[in-house]
Amino acid sequence: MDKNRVSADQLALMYFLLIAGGKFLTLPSILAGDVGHDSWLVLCFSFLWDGICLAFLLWAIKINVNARLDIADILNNSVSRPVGIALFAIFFVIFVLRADILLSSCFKMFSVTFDVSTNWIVFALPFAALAFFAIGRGFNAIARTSQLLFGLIALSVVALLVSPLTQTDFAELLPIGQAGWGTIVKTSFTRSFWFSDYIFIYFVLDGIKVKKHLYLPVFTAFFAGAALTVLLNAVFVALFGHLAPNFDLAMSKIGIFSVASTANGRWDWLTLSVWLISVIIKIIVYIFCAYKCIEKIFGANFVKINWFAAAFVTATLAVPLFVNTDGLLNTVIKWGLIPFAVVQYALPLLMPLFTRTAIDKTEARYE
Amino acid sequence: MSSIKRIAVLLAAFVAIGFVSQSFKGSNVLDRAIILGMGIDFDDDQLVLTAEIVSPGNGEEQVGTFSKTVTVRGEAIGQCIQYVAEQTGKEASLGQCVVVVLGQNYFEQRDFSDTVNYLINSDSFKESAIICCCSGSAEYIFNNGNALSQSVSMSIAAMLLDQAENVAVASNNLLDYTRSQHELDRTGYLNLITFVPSANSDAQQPDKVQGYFTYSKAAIFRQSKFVCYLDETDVMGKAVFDKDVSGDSFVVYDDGMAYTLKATHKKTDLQVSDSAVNADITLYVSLARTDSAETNGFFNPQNKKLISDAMLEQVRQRAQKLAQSFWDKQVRYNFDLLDVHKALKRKQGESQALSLKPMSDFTFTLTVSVKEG
Repeated sequence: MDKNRVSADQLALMYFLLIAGGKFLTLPSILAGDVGHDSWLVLCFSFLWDGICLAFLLWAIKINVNARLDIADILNNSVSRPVGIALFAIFFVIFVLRADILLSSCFKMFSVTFDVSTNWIVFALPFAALAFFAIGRGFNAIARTSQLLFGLIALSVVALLVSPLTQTDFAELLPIGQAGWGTIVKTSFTRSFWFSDYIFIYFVLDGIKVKKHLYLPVFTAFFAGAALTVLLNAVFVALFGHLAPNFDLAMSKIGIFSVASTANGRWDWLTLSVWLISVIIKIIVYIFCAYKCIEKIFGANFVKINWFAAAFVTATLAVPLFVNTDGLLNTVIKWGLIPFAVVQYALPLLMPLFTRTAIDKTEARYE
Repeated sequence: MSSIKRIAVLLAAFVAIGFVSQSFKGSNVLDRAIILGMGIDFDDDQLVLTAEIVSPGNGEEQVGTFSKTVTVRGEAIGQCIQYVAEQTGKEASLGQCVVVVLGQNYFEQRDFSDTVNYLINSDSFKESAIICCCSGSAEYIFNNGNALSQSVSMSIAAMLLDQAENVAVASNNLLDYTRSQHELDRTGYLNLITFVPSANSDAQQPDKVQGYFTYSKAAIFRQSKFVCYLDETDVMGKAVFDKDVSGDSFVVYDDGMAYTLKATHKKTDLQVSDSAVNADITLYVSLARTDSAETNGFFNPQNKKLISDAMLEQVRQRAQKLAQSFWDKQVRYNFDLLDVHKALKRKQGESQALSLKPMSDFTFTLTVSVKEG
């Protein structure tokens, strides 16, 4: 059995968790610092680009249903192997950076919310072990875990949001577009590093079981995840106003706010813990995809799982031990924006064409 | 996988879990000094922090009922909290702090924005905690008991969190106050607590002064600097505008008899333009009765009318006078507790000109109507 095969429904649920998993940490305060109360509009624009790219990517999956070419086959047969290797290198950098920045935020969130102190090695070790295990078990194992935990995680996020939602004065978001529409659109591009959560789909292109529907479940998950993210962001900036940029862990503040008006203790600890599982899943998916990048670059040596490569990829979770992640993020935004945009936004738009070309070439070769 | 391998993997997993779990250092609740409330004074060029503390290690005492106060001196709030830990020998925990009281010599003479910023930026500090100021020193407030409750912090928090909005007093929490000092015209208010001594009836603490707290006054601040006081009339005037606050009481006379009417709910409509503010307020009042089942509000059945038009008119005139007087005070001291600037910001967007726009730039029209309900 192919360990990397997933159904469209599993793909959709996992996509939802990946959207909700990373955007409630430092992103809301970063966006509030950039454009103030219009930060929810930045999210809307970013999700708009994501929606368009996702539609093209799903189209490529539809084209690929019978051929079952993987991303390396598609790129090698359409844009040549050297270009493919360059693209995988960009993917690798994105995945590793995202995993490290997420884990770094997670570390802070853990220490701040639960008042527990530890060191990076001990904190990152269980994540690395899980990621290592996931590489061995295949993508299907991660997808099934997501499927199992989806309901709990979604309920936790909703539970955290309900109380603040009732106390939010949404008129605080007026006037709409005060930061300037140009600035809002520009910010949605400069902060694109945080978006395009669909990029993991490239690495399971050949393993998606499409029976009836593909667009419906995936887009339902996308719209639900996007709506939840925009709503949480709107609540955050409406509640905290000019102070929002100072609070770099949005979910932690929302959590404290949600229990402030009740005398039922810190039940937000429970919901936050459950929600953090989605962040863990996201980190593991990124590490899995980073490993896949190495596999695609050094294709011939990876007939089975290469444990040295897997160990190397999971070891990249130690990067925050040596580099400040905030500084790293700023450098990434400065230098990596355009190369990242190629794989985040240009490649999905071209994927149907590349897939068709690759299939035609492969079929012609067999004929 | 062979059985030996399985056992080896299982053992390795146990060792790893043991190693990892030992490396996460949480603080034991017995090692914590849980701060319920803080009073901050300024004396002799130093901050004086009085913390009301409960600690699970306090012998036979019941947690949450009995507390002790610790007073320390330092140059900044962060240092003072560190000294609290030093004095108690326990980690000072701010996560359960419900009230912060600023002493008169502190809030009148000093810019206390650094203290407020420290608290609001502390990850574990609840931004919903009450912040208020007091007449005299905060240390005095914390060291004198409320006759009806053992904890000063809990008494003040209960008054301002739960009770105030039912007795026509608006109250403020740390988040609202801090936002008011950072946004638009940068003015806001804090409730003013006063301790009123009464006879001590506590046989266990015969030497301790007992009494009650009143909170019918407030103080106005601009960028955490004192501007002026609001007396009882001003606070009542503000309450007339505030739709979330009810319980405004009015004594009226009819046929030589005195009656007390209470506002049960209200409708307020504040129309703001660049140069004018039009306030349209409707008060719904009912006859105040002792222990009666006064169920009022928009979704309740209509009751028999008990209040004459003459009585309603008396309430209208009184409410109109209170509201107008409050507006005049806003203009005189140039502060904005009615969110006039915020309403304009929602229309025009934020600008330096709007933030600096004085209240005297607005002409004010007030219409108050009173109905039984």
